[in-house]
Amino acid sequence: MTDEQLDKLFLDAAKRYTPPSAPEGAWERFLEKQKEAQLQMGSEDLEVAEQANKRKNIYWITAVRRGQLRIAGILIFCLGCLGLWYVLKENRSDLKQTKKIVIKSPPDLFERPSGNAHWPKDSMGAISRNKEDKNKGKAYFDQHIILYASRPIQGSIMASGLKDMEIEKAGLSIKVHFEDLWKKQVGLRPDGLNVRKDSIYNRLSKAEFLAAKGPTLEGKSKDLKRFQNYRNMANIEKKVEKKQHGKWQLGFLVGPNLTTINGSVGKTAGFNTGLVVQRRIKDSKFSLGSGFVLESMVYKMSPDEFHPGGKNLDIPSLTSVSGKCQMLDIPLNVRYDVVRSKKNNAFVSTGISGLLMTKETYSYNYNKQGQAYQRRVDVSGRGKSLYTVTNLSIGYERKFNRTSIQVEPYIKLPMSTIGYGNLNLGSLGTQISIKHNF
Amino acid sequence: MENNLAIILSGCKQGIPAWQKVLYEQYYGFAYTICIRYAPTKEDTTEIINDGFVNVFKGLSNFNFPENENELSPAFMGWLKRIMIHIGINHEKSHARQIAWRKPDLETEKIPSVHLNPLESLAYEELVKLIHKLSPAYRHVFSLFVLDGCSHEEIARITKTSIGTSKSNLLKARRQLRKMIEVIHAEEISKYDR
Repeated sequence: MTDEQLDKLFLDAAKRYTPPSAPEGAWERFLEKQKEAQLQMGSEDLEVAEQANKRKNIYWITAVRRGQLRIAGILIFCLGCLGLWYVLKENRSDLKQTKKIVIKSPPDLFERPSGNAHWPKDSMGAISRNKEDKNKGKAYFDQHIILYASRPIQGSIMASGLKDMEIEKAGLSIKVHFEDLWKKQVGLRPDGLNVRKDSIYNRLSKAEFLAAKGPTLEGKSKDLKRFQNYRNMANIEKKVEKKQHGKWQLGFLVGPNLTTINGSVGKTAGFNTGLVVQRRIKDSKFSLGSGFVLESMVYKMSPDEFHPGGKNLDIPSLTSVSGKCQMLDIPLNVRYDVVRSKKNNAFVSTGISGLLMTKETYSYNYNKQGQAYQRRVDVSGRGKSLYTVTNLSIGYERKFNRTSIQVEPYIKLPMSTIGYGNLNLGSLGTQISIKHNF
Repeated sequence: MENNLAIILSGCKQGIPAWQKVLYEQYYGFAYTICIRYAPTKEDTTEIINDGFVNVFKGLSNFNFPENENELSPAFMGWLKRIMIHIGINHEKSHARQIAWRKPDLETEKIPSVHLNPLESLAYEELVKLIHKLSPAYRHVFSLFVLDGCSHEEIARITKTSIGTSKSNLLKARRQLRKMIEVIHAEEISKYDR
C-alpha cells in the first residue's frame, strides 16, 4: 500500500463519517465545565479584566488627549488673537507719540549756543532766539533730528531742480514741496542762510532730507562729516527696519475640512491643525510655503465605492461603509499676492502636498433580514499609505505690525488612490492661521 | 446554518447563553470529528470538546469576521478546528504519561480483529483506534498532516519540533499504520481460509 493509498483510506473514512450530535445533558455538562474554568481562572480573569480596563483607560486617555490637542489648538488660536489685539492697542497709542519721531538726536552733533540768537554759519541746526522757543526747540531737538537746510545743501537741492518728493517714513506718507518749504522760511537771504522767524516745526526732518534724491553734497568738510554721520545712522536705521520686517513667516493654523470621495462631498467635518512656514521671494509678490498639518477626516460611502485589496465587495447585506482616518500633510505651495499693501494682502496659491496616512478605521454597516448590525475594523497600515494631492486656494491676510491673521479657503484634489479601500480621497475646507514675521 | 451564523456569532459575542447553546449544538459534531483523534475515550473526547468551546466563547472577540458573509462559515470552522486541535494536543500532553506509555487500551483489545467490512470501507472510528495505537508524536503528525491538511511547517510550529522531525514522524507513522492494516487484512483473509 503506497502512502497515497493509505492517506486516501483515512480521508475517505473521515468523509463518510457522520459524527454524533450533542448527547442529552452535554450542554449542561459544558456549563458546569465553563463555571469551573471561570473559578479556576478567576485570578487570571481579574488580571485580564484589569488589562482590559487599562486598555480602556488608555483608549479614553488617548481620546481625551486627542480632544485636548484640539482644545489646545483652539486655545492657542484665541491667545494669538488676544495678543494681536493687545499689540494693536499698544501700537495705536504709540502711534500718536511716535508719529513724528524719526531718530533721536545725538547730542554732540548739535550746537546750542547760549545767550544770543546766533547760530554758526554752517551749522546743521538752528536755535531759537527767545527763551521760550529755545526750550521748545531743545525739547523738539531731543525728539527729532532736524536738518535745517544750510546754504550749501539747500543750494544743491535748488540747483538740482528737485521740486518735491514723496517719502514713506514711519508709516507716514509725506509729500514735501521744496519751494513751499523754502518760501515758508521767512527771509530767504541772498547768502542762502535762512532766518528763522516762525516756528521751527516747518523745517525738514533729517530723515526726510536724507531720503531725498538728487542733491550732491557741498560744503565744508565738517558739515560733510556730520552729514555722512547722519546718513550712516539713517542707513543703520534702514537695516534695522529691514530686519524688523523680514521675509520669513512662521505660524500656526487650525480649520475644519470636509472629505470628498470621487467628487462627492461628505457631510461630517474633520479638523486640521498644524504649523506653517512661508518665505517671500526677494521683494516680489511670490512666496513659498510649507509646513506640517495633521488632518483628521471622516467620510461615508456606498459599498461600490470601497475596494479593499482592489476587489469589489459583493455583500448584499452591506449597506454602507463609514471611515475615519488621520493624515500628516506636508505641503509645498507657491503663493502670489494679487493685492498687496501695508496692511492687507489678497492672494492665490497652488502647489502639491504629500500625505501620509497614519491611522485608518472603518465601520461596516449591515442589514440582514431587517436586523441592522455594525462591525468595526482597524486597518491602519494595511493599504497604500502615501499619496499626493494638488492644492488650490485663495486667501486674505491682515497684518498687524509683525503679526498677521490669514483666512484661506482651499481644495485638495487627489492624484491617486489611497488607503485600505483604494479611495480617491480629497478635501475642501478653510484654514485660519496666525503668522509672525522674522 | 450559514445564513444564521453571523447572527449566532453576534449573540455569542454578547454572551447570550441561548445563542451559545445553539452554536455548541450546531458544531458539536464537527468538533467531535476532530477531537476523537486526540482522545482515546469518548469521555476524553467530550472533555476536549468542552474545553475547546470554553476557549471559543472566550476568544470570539478576537475572531476576524471576513467581509464576505459567504466566507464566514469556512473561516469560523477553520478557526474552531485550530482551537480544537490545540486543546486536543495540550490535553494529551497534560496526560502524556498516562496516554503515551500506558498499557494498550483494553477496550481496544476486546474489539475483534476480524472485520466484516472490506478494508476500503473501514469505519472512521476504527481507523482512529489504529491511530491511537501510535505514539503521541506519530499520532499528532499523521492526524495533522493527513486528516487536518496542515503543512510540515505548521505541524512543527504546533508540536514545537522541527520540520525534519515532522517528516520523519510521518514516515514512521505511515509505516506502523500500514503494518496494522496489513495485519487486519491478513486476519480477514485467514478467516476465509479456515
